[in-house]
Amino acid sequence: MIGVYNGLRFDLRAGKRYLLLSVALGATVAFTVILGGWVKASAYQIDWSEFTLGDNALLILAGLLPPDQIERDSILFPIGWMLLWTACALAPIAYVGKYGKGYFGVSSLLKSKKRSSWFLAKCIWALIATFLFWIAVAITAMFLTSINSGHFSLEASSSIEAINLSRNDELLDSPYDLTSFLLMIPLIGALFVLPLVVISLLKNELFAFLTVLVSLLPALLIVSGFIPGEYLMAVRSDCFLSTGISSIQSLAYAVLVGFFSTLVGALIFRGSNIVGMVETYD
Amino acid sequence: MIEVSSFSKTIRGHKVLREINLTVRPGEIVGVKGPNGSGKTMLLRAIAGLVYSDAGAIFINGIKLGPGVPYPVNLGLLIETPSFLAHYTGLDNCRLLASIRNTVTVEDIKTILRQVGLDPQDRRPFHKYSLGMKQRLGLAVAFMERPDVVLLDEPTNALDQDGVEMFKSLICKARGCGASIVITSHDDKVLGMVSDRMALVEEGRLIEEKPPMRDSNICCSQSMGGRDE
Repeated sequence: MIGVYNGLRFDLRAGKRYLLLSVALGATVAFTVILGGWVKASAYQIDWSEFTLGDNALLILAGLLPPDQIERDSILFPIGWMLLWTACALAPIAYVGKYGKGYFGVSSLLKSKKRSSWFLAKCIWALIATFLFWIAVAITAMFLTSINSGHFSLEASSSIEAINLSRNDELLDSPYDLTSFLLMIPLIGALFVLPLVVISLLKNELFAFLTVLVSLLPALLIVSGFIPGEYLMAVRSDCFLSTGISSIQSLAYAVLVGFFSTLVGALIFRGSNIVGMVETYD
Repeated sequence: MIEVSSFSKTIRGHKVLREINLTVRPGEIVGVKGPNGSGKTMLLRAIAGLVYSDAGAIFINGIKLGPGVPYPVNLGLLIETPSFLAHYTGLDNCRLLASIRNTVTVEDIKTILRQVGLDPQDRRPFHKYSLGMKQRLGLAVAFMERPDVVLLDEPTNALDQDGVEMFKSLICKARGCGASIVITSHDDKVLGMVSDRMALVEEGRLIEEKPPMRDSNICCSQSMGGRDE
């Protein structure tokens, strides 16, 4: 454990810039998307000045209803949601991909003596970076809420038309209590990032980013419990749909994915060959 | 002590090392030469525990290297072009790496930086370093924790004459402290001046070992022992 602790302490210092990047990205994306949501609400003649914290959070976390429940010609690509999750993964993937390899990464690995300690330290660092991202998102959302309505309730009602939900039988009546979803999402998000970090380390950053897209995009087209994106959309949760995914289900999925990806990654890394000019793990 | 015993390695279908046998005793410097792609760097990676054997084994002080086995001794490594955190100074990069094991002080780090010809007070970030400065920093990191095993791949790359003299001094000191040292280089002159033995690697095979072609080992002509405090 001391090896993991020393490795983490090292990564917190070496990866300081990337931790700050995580915070900056969280704040920037949240700010941009919420403001964009207010502009869109104005276009729909919805009074955004009454948006609660829950409404503002929904602007960034909504995602898209299951495709069989919305009119095809009324699908709006959830750009803000895609941007948020891509930004969430950016700093962890970039730090681990860049400084987990190369001469610097190999030097730190050799000084750690145990590959498993080094690997686990990187994973824990990535979790911390992701938590910081979500703290920045939360603070930004609260700041913007303090500017518009000043209502910090986690119930959403006014924003739903601004995110273009269609009415259907499975949709619950508003207001929508997002408490359980919002409280779980930072942890679910952190666990979602872990496999991406493992991929970045074992393969490369580009592959990890492609995996982000593969994790998110299919959820816009199909409904499947195997697609990570399914668990990251507020409007697919039981906060909105009578058949929606509960926070416990989402957490269980995230824990399984996070745990197994870390375990498998550690086992692969343990026996990998570290070769090449730009170090790759083979 | 390093013992490489019938070590073979295949990577992506290509046999990069074939039944290598090599022993490096404490306080000994072995120079490894060979053409590009002969397996010299791969041999260093194997001794560093970065690649594992398909056949044979590597023992460091009697402990066999392998997956899950912590590296048994303090290792100093310089392989290929050293790269560090771009926006940190040389001193900060060294301090960061040294913080993992916490076996040397800031003063020790400053001393080694001066020994390699770098100014510890230099506030320039690493990305502004010249190639020679980067190499010197790589040597500083390799030697700063007084390693028991030193593995250097083309250590005099981009070094001027002063840098080469500095390198010789560093390696002789490490040898005097009992480190087992393996150097690969295309520079026969440098290898000849510091090595106790030379090994020739071709197509992954160690095909001969011989004493270096020179009148004396420069390390023998310098006073040994102790650490530069």
